[in-house]
Amino acid sequence: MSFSRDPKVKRTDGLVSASDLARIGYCERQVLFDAERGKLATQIQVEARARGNAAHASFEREAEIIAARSARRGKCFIASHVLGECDDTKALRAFRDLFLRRSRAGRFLVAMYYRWSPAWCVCLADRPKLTSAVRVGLHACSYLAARAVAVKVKRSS
Amino acid sequence: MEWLGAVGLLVLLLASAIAVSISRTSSVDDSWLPPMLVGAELAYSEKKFISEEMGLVAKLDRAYRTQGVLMLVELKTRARQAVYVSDVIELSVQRIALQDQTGERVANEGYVAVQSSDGGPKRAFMVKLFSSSEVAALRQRHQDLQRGNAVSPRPARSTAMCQSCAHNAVCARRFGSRFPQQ
Repeated sequence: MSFSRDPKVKRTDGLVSASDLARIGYCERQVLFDAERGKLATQIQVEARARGNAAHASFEREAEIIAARSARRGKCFIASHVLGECDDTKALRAFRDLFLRRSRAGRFLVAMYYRWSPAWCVCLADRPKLTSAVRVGLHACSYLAARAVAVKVKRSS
Repeated sequence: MEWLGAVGLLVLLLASAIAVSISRTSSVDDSWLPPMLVGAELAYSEKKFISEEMGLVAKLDRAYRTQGVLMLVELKTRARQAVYVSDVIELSVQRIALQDQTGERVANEGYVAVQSSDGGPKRAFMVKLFSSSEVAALRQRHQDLQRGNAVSPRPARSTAMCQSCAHNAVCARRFGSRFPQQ
């Protein structure tokens, strides 16, 4: 029987991972031998892990769609989806509140954004290249938004 | 320059229409979800959390926010529609790590979504999670096992599990041949 080394061995500064601790519930002797001989995997285990990984990838894709659905009901959207919570998204929100929401045309644009962006989020979910391209554009937009917000804040103070 | 703006708007509308049509075809089967999680906000997905205090790290599959608490869901693929104690340990560690890192309350129960190995439908099982002190005891036991200090390490619950284990032969030599090598 041939064995392969487990690629998911975790040794992170004394932290024990959930999956490592869960092995106690599976077999305590395995934990003992893993420590002594290293984590080894049989072909059966490798195949089972591959099936698990594929199922998880699908589960994650579904989660992206659910998250986009939630976005339709709440806030979120493309910037949060692509950039995450960071200074760039804060700058874009500030721009929305200081500029766009103060005019009829601006409010229309915001409404259109809320209408279309969940669909965009779904599209971007499994398209990393398109997401990267959008990220570049959003970085540029947030830079300009931050400058505009800074000028407006300076003037009003 | 007005025509440039019109063309830009047209392209944007066209792209949005395509995006909407794609999103409509991307449907999610959530019929397996327990009723309390249907339509709940998906707070975290595939995210790692750390409990410095307990020395634990966990990557959770999903955490839904419902009725002011976070509810954990862990996906498992296996031949049998069953939940094991290892699933409960995993979810319990996730609960502690998520609670410690975010400060949000995490429910004492969680769900294990079991999917058959052939990619069939999922089925959710609710499980009661271990308390912090129970997880701390398990962590101590884990440390003892790793250092070779544990008394009488328990074997797997079935011969099938032993037969697919890479340590089977060594285990049989040391602890006796309770589970014969294949």
